[in-house]
Amino acid sequence: MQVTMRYFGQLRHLAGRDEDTIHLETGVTALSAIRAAMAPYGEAAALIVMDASGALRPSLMVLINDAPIDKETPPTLQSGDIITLLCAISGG
Amino acid sequence: MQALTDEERAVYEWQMWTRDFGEAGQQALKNTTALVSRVGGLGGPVCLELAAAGIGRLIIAHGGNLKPSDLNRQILMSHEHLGTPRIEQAKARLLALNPRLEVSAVASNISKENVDRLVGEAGIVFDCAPLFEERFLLNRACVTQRKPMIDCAMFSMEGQVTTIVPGETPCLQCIYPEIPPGWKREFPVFGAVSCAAACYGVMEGIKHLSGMGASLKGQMLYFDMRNMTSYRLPLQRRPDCPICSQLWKVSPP
Repeated sequence: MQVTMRYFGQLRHLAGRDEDTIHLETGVTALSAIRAAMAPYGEAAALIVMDASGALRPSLMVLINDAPIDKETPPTLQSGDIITLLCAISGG
Repeated sequence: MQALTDEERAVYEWQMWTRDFGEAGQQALKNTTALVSRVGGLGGPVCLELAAAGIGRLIIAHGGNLKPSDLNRQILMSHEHLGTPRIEQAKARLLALNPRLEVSAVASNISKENVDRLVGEAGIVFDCAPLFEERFLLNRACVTQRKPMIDCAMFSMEGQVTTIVPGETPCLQCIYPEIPPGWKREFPVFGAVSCAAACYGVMEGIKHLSGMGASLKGQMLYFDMRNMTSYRLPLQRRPDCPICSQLWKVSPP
């Protein structure tokens, strides 16, 4: 199946693109999909997205089809899902 | 509540023509004190637009002197004042635009020592700080004192704005429970992007104070000026939020 991974904030900067199309096995969870999506983007991106145990960070907002998810129990994805990853920014 | 003077009616006439704003909205602005944390790339244009719109009193807090690298975005500053305190330049510029404005200038950043007092003096808070430590201090004080906080943020070509009303919306630490790893004090920034985020934030504040329009309560506006896209993202409160969950026990959502 195919899903879209959309990046906001520093992730967009680190990835150098707005979104990726990811091809996955059926039945994959959002957590596995996010790990796969981050793999090409190095340690800086991984640090923003996951903690040392590999869990999704509290400071990362994750939405599937514009609905926030419970990051402690990432749901199974459906083909065509759009996963939005928004990391905190402050600026000034 | 102080009424408008003839001079104020003349200055603000065109914005008072805006549907659902009128003289009542203008009077609400005149009788409001706004606290703005920092007067840099975000806080500077927030202050400038609030002053132009006729806010009654501004409390501005920012420590340190103007550096060359500030000048691409800090529009209250001027080249000739490099090396001098930002806060004095900001106050002078704001009063030059609006001499009716009362400005209380604090020559230090928001800190544990001053946050409760400064938030206590304000009717609304604009969070424009570059560091999450400052943002979290403001958020905690706003929740404790039940003050609305407009949160403005930017990075590179992107901006984020939301309106936080304690007891009605998620607070900043519901959205971001921890200081995000990897955030650096220096970051890519265009002045026009920080200015755009600031202007969205100011209009959120004006709408909140006047009751005009639909606000971003419980939603975050995200925009990217690289490709001119924008989204409104729903925000969720955290039932275990250490900052605001107590409020929800009193007044459930």
